[in-house]
Amino acid sequence: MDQKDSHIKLANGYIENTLNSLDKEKFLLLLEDEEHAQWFEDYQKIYKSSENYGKATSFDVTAALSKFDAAVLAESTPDQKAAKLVKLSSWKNIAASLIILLVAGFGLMNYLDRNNSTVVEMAYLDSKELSLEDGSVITLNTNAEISYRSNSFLKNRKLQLKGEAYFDVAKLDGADFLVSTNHLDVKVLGTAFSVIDIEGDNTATVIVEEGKVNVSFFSLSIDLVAGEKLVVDHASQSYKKISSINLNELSWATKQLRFKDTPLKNVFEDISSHYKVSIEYPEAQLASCLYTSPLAFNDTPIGEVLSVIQLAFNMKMEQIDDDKYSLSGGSCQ
Amino acid sequence: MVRSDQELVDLLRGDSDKAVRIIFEHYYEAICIRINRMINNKAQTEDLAQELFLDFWRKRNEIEITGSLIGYLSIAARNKTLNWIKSNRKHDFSSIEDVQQATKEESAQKLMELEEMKIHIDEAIDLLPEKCKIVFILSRFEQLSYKEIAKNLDISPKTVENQISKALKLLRNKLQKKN
Repeated sequence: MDQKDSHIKLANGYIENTLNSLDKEKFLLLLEDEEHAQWFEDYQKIYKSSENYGKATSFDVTAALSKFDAAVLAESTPDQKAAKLVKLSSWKNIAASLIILLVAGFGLMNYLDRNNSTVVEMAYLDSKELSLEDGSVITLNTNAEISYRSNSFLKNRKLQLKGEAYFDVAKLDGADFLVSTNHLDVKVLGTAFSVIDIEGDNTATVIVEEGKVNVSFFSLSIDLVAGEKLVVDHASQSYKKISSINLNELSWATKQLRFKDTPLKNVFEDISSHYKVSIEYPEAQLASCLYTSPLAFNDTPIGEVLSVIQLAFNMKMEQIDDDKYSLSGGSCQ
Repeated sequence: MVRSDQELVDLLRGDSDKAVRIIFEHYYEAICIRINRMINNKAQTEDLAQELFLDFWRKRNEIEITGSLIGYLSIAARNKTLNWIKSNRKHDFSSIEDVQQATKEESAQKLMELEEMKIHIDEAIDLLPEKCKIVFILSRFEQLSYKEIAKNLDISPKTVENQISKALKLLRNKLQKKN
């Protein structure tokens, strides 16, 4: 037994090349015996061919890290916690007073066909558009203020923001684009990206549509890439990174709604929330229907949007009220 | 930013919270793969890995790491997993001896299946009888000796030897057939 035990240890060490010269010699001597040599040949085959065993299983590091952060915070000393909470309340103030939306190039959405474009068309009635030297366009919402040094802007692309703004950032040889507020920094790490930071009671959200950004909050600094969403819950002092996003969450600013294999229920939810209307439709009957819009609805009147959808599912539309529509009949085809 | 182990250990002495997070990001997946290889239970693996990194965080200021970080974490992962196996599967392992005969027949059956299916070695490992598999994994991947395996699983060294032989025989036949 002991002998065999030492054989297998020697064999492992020999394959891994971790044996000292004495053990190596001992092992090579063993291999002079034909039976041992045959055994080792087989063993080595098994050993080598199994080296990737178990590596196919994937683990969600981001979700795990979020859980870990929460556990660490829970165990922090009162002093450490206080330090983190000061930062949290700053974040909350920002969330209450600031909504940032940064957008550049909707390259991921091929139906927009703007892979190389850096301009997003905006049509705010109550907003002000500002073109910067580097080609970036900022749309300021009511009461928002932006400031930057015009003589050095091209060199460092740093901006200060108060209030709410929408950024269409031009690609500039990989140069950073930094938006600072009194409490928060959003740094663009890639060249084409989109972020939205939505106000909420307990949560603040950042969505990246394309590219990569870095968000600083609590005492943390987190990178977000295309298709990722970060929800920071300052009530429970935790955060969650989600890897699938609904692009229509950006519709309040982009004025665009787009659907790709979207369950009809979600289609109507997005439309209702975007146009602030209520829509009745035979939900049970159309529960399994999926809808793909041929093009993005770009600032399209609600009546037209619903007409397109009613045609797709052979429904009948009726406007009940200014903000109430009813659709009847229909099938998934 | 890629940091060397030494930089991370140095960072551990300074901004230890940040260092632990970076270490978590670097090594969490590798540690999970290691644990899951032993227990083949993703949810439990994630729990054990969380505990492991929390332990690491709790001890961050007094940890002495002489070798590599991954080496340190791997040994911690192995010990934690073996403790879990021991406290949760004691009954299973104590019955190994009783089922020797049954598993012999089972092995022959499995072997035939393997040969017919010509499946990949990974799947062949997964198809090993449970006890046989854990003993093989501990020897192959955790580099434990028979005695150490026996001690950790509360079984006799003789049983370990039998299980290893069985595992090797099944896998060897599988490989030979494939080749």
